[in-house]
Amino acid sequence: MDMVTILSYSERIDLQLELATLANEITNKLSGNSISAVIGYGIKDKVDVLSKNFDKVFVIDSEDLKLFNPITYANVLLNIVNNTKPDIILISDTKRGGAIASALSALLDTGCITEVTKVELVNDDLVIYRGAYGGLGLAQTKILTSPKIIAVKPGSYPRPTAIKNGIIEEMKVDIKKPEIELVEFRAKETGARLNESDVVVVAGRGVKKKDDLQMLEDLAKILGGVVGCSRPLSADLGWCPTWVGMSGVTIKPKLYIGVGVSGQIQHIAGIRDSKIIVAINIDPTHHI
Amino acid sequence: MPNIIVCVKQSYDVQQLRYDKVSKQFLLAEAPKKMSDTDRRAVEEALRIREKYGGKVIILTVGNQDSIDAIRQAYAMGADEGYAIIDKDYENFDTNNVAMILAQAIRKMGNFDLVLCGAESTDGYSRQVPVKVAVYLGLPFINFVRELRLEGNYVIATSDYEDGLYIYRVKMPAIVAVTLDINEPRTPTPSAILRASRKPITQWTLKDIGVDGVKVHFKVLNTYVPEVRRKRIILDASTDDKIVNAVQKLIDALRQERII
Amino acid sequence: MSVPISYPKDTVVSFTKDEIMFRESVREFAQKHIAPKWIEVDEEASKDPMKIPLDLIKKIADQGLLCIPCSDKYGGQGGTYTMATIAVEELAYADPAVALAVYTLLNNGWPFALQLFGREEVSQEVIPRVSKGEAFFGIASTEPQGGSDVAGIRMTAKKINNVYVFNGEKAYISGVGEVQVLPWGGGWFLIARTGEAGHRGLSAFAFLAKKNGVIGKGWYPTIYHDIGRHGLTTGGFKCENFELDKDYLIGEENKGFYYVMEGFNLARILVAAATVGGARWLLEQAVQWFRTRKLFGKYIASFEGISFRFAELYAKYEAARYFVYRASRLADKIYIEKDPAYNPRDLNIPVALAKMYGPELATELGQEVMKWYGAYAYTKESPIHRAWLGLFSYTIGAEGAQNIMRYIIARDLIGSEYMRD
Repeated sequence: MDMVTILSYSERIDLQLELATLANEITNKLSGNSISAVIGYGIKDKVDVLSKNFDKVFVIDSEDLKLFNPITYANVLLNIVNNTKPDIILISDTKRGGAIASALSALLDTGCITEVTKVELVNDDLVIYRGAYGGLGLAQTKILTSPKIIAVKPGSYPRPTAIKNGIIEEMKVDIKKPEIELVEFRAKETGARLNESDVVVVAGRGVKKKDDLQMLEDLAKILGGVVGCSRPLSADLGWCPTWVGMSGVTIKPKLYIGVGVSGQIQHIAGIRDSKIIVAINIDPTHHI
Repeated sequence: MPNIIVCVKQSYDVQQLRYDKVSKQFLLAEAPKKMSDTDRRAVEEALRIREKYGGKVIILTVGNQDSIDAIRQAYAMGADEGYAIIDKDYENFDTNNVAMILAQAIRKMGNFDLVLCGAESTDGYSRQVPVKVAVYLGLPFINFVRELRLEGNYVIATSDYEDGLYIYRVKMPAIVAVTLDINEPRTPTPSAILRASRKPITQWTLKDIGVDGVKVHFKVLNTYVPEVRRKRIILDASTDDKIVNAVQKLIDALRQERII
Repeated sequence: MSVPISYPKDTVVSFTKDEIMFRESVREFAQKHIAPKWIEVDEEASKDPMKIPLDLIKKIADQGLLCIPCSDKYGGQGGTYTMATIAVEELAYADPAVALAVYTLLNNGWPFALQLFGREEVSQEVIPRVSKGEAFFGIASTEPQGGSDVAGIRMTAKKINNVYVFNGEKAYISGVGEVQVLPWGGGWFLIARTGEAGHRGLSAFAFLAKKNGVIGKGWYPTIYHDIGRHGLTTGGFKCENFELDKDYLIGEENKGFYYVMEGFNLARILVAAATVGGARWLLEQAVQWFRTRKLFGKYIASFEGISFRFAELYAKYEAARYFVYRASRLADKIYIEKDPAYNPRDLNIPVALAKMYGPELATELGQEVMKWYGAYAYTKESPIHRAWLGLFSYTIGAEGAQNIMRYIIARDLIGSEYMRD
């Protein structure tokens, strides 16, 4: 591949920056363009930081994008794809991003890999690593068609330090709104960004009362970290807005402390790359 | 009286998946399979809708001969009809292929109001197939649904996203992908299991649904168990008098690792 | 006569797809609803035996785990005997103190025996209630003077016009509390004397101490305090002119001994299945412990005194499990498929092997696991003693003492004429 064009998209600016790191890694070796796509409603004021990390930033800001739907968003993104003809499309694998990547892959009839944690350049080709079998394994994969769509798990790459001076270009496109109506929105308390902290204290089912989370908060505060929950505490009891593990947040802090966490493989998959894992448990035989 | 098609996948039971300690390769040939956990909830949800509003629950799967078992399991839970598209090359199919085949089969079946899928499979976990089916069918799609009800010709679905719950209203026909939280699926009784095994399953080939062949878009080079070396230090704090000592040792160890 | 190489008929144990799916289903059910409760059930009922877990019995009934081999025309599941065996094994794995597994096994084996030998009307009356968890139906054979000597039973049933009148006493009977608290009631496959001394004077009855919520006159129960397996009651009862309609006679008068022996064969398979399920739980406790416990700076399984012993016990476990499923497959051939090549007598040795081996393996294993765990296992916090005490009940007796199993095996191989004084 010579002169590769990489298009990056995420609904979150901070995750776009993580994609910029990966895009830079590839363009540094192969030379090429790193382009960012920003689509949504009321977002055009927030894209300045992206121009410092990408060669070009395309912005599609429209009230018609107020209601999120992956197929609508993929169709809008398709306009930028047609315009820039990328070889690689990086999308951060959030719940929205993963679905947009998938829909785009169907629209373009090209391959897409989700749950990606690492991308390596081997003989000018990309070897893409993703979690496999519920996080138990790692799969090395290759996309055989172009463009290659890669959905990267948040937290897999750090923020970039490279400073660019990209151009921002606003695009107007026709948007076919989905025949879906939003009846109600109930915001979750947006907790601490778990995948950005060096220390994460995670509460598991062994924590019996919601009040006891305060002890964990105190510990996290001393260590300069944040508190998260395992899946049952978040999904079943609603103590935390999201959980650590598969289908929740993947973290790799310097220090992970699991309190009363039994260590289902889906949870382990989300913490495997932590530097130090400390588990506090009444049962020394638990999987964690 | 909605007709609901539920797309299911017979997956490797990852909880029982073992690997070779030396080669780090998974022992797939001996691995037990089961219907994906979220798909099972999609079946359960369809059955609950039928119990409330009437209609039919029709199961659809793409796979090899093993996949028939997913339909049997759905029958044991109470599903009405089952269709399996069987192909010997199934193991090589990618998500585009599977979604396209499902969409073709759904077109051929016709006469449906709602398609339910699990948002992700237990083994593959790519979350790609449901939205792709919607793209291929050109129907509205709602993802990560943890609550579902019908209102006349409309589906009211609660989508669970990172920032909050979005309650959508969409006219049927539509495609809905459900999460693990939507319900607790029933465990079938012996008599239901026995009845299920006597119920016919319609088997189609790719040709039967008008698919000439598939183009593969990506391939898996290798799947293995990544090695993580851990020190595995166990500190005993099982009694009050041991706690102080254990905590001190933990602090010392973390200092040594330059964590604190 | 030579010792048979494969006795009595070659049986390779394998499971049908339905049975595999059923195991998944029952395991999920048991792990979700029974496993989180078993310690609480055992603890509560240890203080008060009448703390019967009615909610869990109802759940087990709703899950279709009672009367599995009984015909669907009686509200049974129309399943195989192997399915009943699987259900009991998985329940015991979820509740290794085995109270709920034993409730389930009694209410599979004995309603099925009733269906095999009793009047159709009685099956129609009793089995649907048992199947729904509204009634209990177990076995009442043992008397205060002994259990193994069935031919020596003293309770009498005297036919007067259209009723049998019962006098005498039964002891160590499971379900005495359950019959009283379950809404419909129920009773036992009961053996009483209707004729001459010895086994030819015994008859079997569907003895309903309580039906339609009403306890019969002349029935006086007591409840015992067991040392384990809490949550299933054991008790005794006296009959003083207790009357039962003659239709509740099972089969022909004075042939009860033969019916109950076949019933015992069926129930023993499930008893052995319960001990194998409990043993699986114990083995898992051992492996988890071996993977964490260190002594003298080494994992304890690096001491061969421990790991080799574990391997021996595991071999016994596999043998016990094979005995159980070989016997249940034979029961399917005889009683479900009604294959003319098989005879009820073909079950004698396979069942005796399973019932002899399973309980002894489970008890031995429980004791070893407790030793491996050390002092912790002797505390009330550790759940292992609960499993051990529950499983031990089957080494003592229940559905036949261990030495009776040895006698059956020896008798059938050597010939009873060579074993008399």
